[in-house]
Amino acid sequence: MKNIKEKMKQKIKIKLSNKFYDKDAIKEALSDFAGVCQGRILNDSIEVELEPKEPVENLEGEFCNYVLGLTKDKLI
Amino acid sequence: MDNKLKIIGDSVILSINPKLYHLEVIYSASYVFLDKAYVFLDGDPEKEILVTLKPKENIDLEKLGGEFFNELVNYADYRTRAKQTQKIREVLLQRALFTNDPIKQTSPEFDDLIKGLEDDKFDDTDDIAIPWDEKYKREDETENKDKIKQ
Repeated sequence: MKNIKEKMKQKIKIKLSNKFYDKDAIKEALSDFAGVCQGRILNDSIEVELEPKEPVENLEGEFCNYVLGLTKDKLI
Repeated sequence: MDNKLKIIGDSVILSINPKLYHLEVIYSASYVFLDKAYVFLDGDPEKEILVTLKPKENIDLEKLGGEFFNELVNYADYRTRAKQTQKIREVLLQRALFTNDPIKQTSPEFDDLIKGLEDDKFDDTDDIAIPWDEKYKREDETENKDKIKQ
């Protein structure tokens, strides 16, 4: 239980290349993930910080996959 | 194959030449793998694209990387064929829409029929034009309705 709480307190930083990921897609993903975590874009390169609200296994991976799906839908 | 595929920890990193595979193809192949693995794109879209696959379940990483390359070939072929057949598909669609256009479908007989109906000059020998209620109304029903009204 302690371990889960500690994990939830940890902020997750993800670096997504702006050459492959669409910034609008990231914003949309952050809004869609609002129930699970709080997040913000730190800079243009694009660094994203996620703060989990509940324990989700591999949140960064799920987030990246979601952004990739949205980016693909936007670009193709 | 070795320099195209590197296994680091629980992930496999694939090096893709963007001159061989268009970015659109890489996105499409990545999309297929979203349910199997966590996919991360990085690198330079002009020189070398790096795709990192981190499987969600315990899968052979080399096999996973190989499957991704196969998917790239699949989508590259699909894209080439789509380009080759683009014009014919457009023509077929135009043709299909043209033949289903009701304005273009009118013929002199059809026009006469419509005009005749509009002029209301047809013989109603079977009493088709009479509404159902009027045609099959029973006398007892009308009596009942009159009683209710009273």
